Amino acid sequence: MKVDQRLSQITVCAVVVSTLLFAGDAAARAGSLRVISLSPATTEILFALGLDEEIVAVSSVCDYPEKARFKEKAGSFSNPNMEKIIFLKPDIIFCAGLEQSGTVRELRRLGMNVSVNDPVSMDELYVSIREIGRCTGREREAENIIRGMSEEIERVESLLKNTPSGKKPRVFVEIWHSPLMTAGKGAYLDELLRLAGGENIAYDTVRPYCYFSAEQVIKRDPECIFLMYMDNAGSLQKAGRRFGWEHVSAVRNKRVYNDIDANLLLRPGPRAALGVREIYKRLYP
Amino acid sequence: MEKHRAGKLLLLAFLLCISAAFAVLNGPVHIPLNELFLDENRKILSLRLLRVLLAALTGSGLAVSGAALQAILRNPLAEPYLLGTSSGAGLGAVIAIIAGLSSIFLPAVSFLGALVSMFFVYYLSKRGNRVPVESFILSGVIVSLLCSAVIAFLVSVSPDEALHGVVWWLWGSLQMYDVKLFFIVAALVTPAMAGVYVFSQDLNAVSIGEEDALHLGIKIEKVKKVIFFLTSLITAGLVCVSGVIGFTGLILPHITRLWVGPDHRTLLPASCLLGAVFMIVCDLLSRTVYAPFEIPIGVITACLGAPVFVILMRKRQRVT
Repeated sequence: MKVDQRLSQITVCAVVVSTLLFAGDAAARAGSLRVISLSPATTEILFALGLDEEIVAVSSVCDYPEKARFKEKAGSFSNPNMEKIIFLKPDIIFCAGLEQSGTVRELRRLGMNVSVNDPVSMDELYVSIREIGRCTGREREAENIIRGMSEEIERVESLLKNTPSGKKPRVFVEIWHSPLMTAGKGAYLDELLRLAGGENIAYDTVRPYCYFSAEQVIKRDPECIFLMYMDNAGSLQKAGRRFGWEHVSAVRNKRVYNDIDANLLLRPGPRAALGVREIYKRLYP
Repeated sequence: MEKHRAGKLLLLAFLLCISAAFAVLNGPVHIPLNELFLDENRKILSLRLLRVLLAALTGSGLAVSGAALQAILRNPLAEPYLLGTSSGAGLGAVIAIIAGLSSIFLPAVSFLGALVSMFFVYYLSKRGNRVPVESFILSGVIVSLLCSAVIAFLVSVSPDEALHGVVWWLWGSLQMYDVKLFFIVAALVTPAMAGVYVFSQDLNAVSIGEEDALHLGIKIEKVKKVIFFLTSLITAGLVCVSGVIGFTGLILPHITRLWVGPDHRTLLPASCLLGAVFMIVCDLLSRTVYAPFEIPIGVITACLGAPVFVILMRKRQRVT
C-alpha cells in the first residue's frame, strides 16, 4: 500500500516537473531568435525595432547605436566570414546587395535564410523596414518607425511650402574628393536632398554614384556644398581652396558644410528623416 | 644522389600531410577535434577541406609553372603571370560581369579570356617557325599591359557592380564553394603538371642554353611551345577560380632549387609539394591571424616568401 502510494507520488512529481521543464524550455526557445546583420543600415533598423540579444553578430562597420560596437563581429562589410556565420547558427542573416551578392548566393546554397535589403529610395526603405519587421516579429514597431519618419518628412515639406522663394538652392553633394564623386540622378541621397528642398546640380549623371567633373561644379555654381565622405573626415579647407573654386557661390559665401554625420544620409536606415531635417536646416537657415 | 632525392621528396610529402591536417583542424572559428566531425559542423568542415584542396592545387600548379617557365625563358624573374594569361583571365571576368552573365559562367569566360591572350602572345612572338625567348617575354608583357588597360577602362565607365566583382580577383581568394568546379579545374591542372614533368630532361638541357640543347638533340622549339601551352593552361585554370596570387610562382622554384638543386627531375616534384605546403600555410595564416577578418592571400605569400628566400639566399652565399 505504502509502496504504491509512494510510487504514484513520485510519478506525479516526475510528470509535473518534466512538463514544467519542457514548457520552460519551449518558452525559452520561442524567444531565442538569432539574427546576424552584415549591413550597417540594417543593424540600425534592427536596434530601432527593439532587438538586442537576438542580434548575435554584426559586420565590422556597424557602429550605430553604441551597443552595436560591442557585438560579435562576423567579418568586414565586403568580406563576411562564412565559417563564423555558419558556426553562430543564425535564423536569419540580413545582407546588403552589391558586394555581398557572392556571399548571399553561397549562404543560400548552404540552406541559410538570407534577407537582402538594398533600398534606393524612401519608398523602398519603408518596404525594407516593414519586411525586416515581419521577419523578426516586430511589425508594430516597424510601423511606428515608418510613421515617425514620414511625419518628420511631412513636417519639412510643410515648412518648405512656407518659404517664400520659388527657387530652391543649388546643391552639390561631394561623396569623395579624389576622384571627385557625387550622388546623382536616381541615388538615395539625391532623393533625400530633394525632400529637404535642395536642387542637385548633378541631375544628369549616367549612374547614381559616379564621378563628376570639377569644371561642371564651377559652371553650375552650387550655393551649398555638402561634404559627405564615408569616413566623416571631409576637410573644409581642402574643398574651399581648390584651384578655380574660389568664385563658386558656396565657397564665396562660406556655405560648405561638413558637419552632418555622413552615415545619416549614406545609410538607408531609421535616421534618414533626421538627415533630411539636418540638410533642410542648412539650406534654409 | 638518388637516396637523397627520394628522402627529400618523402619529407615534403610528409610535410604536406601534416600542414593539410593542421589547416583543416584550424580556422577563424575554434572547434575542438572531437566536435569537428559532428553533423552540425559538417558545413564548416567541408568548407575548410575544399579550401585546403584548392590551396594545395594552386600552390603546386603555380610553383611547377614558375619552375618550367624559368627554365625555358632562362630568366630567374619569370613567373606564371608573365605571359599575359592572368590579365587575359581578368579581362574575361570583367567582361562577363559587365555583360551581366550569371556568375556560373564567370570561370568559363575568364578561362576563355586567358586562352585568347595565350594565343595572342604566341602569335605575336612567333618568328617563322621559332619562338625566340626575348619576343616571348616582350609579347607577354605587352598583352598583360593591354589587358590591364582595357580592364581599367571598362571598370571606370561601367556601373558600380563591376568594381565590386573584380576586386577579389585582383587580390586572390582561396574561398571556393563549388565542388564540381574544383574537380574540373583539378582535372585540367593535374595532367598538365604531369605533362610538364615529362619534359624534365628537356628542361634541364634548355636551361643551359638553346645552342647547347640543340646540339644535344633536343627539339627546343617544340619544347618551348609545349611548355608554354601547358603552363598557360595551368595558370588560366587556377586564375579563373582563385584570382591572382602573386609571388608564389616566382619565389617557390628558387627556394626549392636552393634545397634540391637544379635537376628538374627532382625540382619539379619538389616544387609541386613545397608549393602546396606553402600555399596551405599561407591560407591558414590569412584565415586565423586576424580572425574574423581575412588578410588577402597575396599579402601573406609575399610577407612569408620574401624573408624565407632572403635567408636561404644568404646562407647559400656564405657557403660558396
